[in-house]
Amino acid sequence: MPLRGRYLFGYDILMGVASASASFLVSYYAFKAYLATREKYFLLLQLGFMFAGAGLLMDSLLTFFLIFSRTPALLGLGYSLYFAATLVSYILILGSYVVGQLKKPILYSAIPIIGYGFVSETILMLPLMVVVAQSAVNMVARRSINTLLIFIAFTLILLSHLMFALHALTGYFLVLGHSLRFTGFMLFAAFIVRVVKTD
Amino acid sequence: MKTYRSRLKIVLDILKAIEEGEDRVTRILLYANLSHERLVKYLDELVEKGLIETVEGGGKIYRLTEKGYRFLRELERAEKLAEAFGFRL
Repeated sequence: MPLRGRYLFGYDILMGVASASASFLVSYYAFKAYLATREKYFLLLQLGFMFAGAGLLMDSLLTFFLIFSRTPALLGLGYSLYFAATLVSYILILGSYVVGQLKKPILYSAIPIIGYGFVSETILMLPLMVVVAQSAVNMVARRSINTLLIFIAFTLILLSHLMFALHALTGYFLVLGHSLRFTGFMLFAAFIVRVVKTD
Repeated sequence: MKTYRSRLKIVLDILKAIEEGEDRVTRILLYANLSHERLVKYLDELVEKGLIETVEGGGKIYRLTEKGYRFLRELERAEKLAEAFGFRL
């Protein structure tokens, strides 16, 4: 993949590892919340972010390994693992919303391959679009900085998938996609810092 | 619309009330918005679990234990996390 090498080799790995760390951080706090409350939606959220982090980390590590091994086949394997883990992740996060909304009578509910391809990225976008819609509804209903951060984070990650899907048009979309995804996960990290800091 | 308050949310409200100095049953009642009978049941359960303790001093006075403080912090974090993602405790 020459565009990947030309524009971002190295930076995408670092951004991937940082995004994975932010994702694991959210996962950790969601798990702590689950232990304190035993609410199932926290467990789904924890698993969702754990899968997201694992997918990002596997993709980054395999890409890093490729630099040394010079085995292009690994690039495809890395993306395959990322795709599978991310798809599971979004379905779990969507599941947490379904469980969370079904459990409580809230009126404002909105619930009713291989290598940055258009089809694979579009598949990832579908569950994430519902997650973004739900987070937008939450933001409008609650109007807090935390809900705004969550909404922007999910929106940026959704846009990153759109950029990955369209990257065949120009390699800059790939750069933009990585940057948007990175920023999205950093917002999750900022949100966790806010939650911990205001104790 | 009457909002549903979960058991967990009630526990959170009681612990917050005690932390903020509402240490007697009558004062916790107002803060936690519960009937006397239900509040006493909750308080007994929280004492049993070691989250609060009673101190004698002209009537029963409640205060948080170390375990209670830690549990309250965890619940507050969980509440913030839940609200940000659009859930309710």
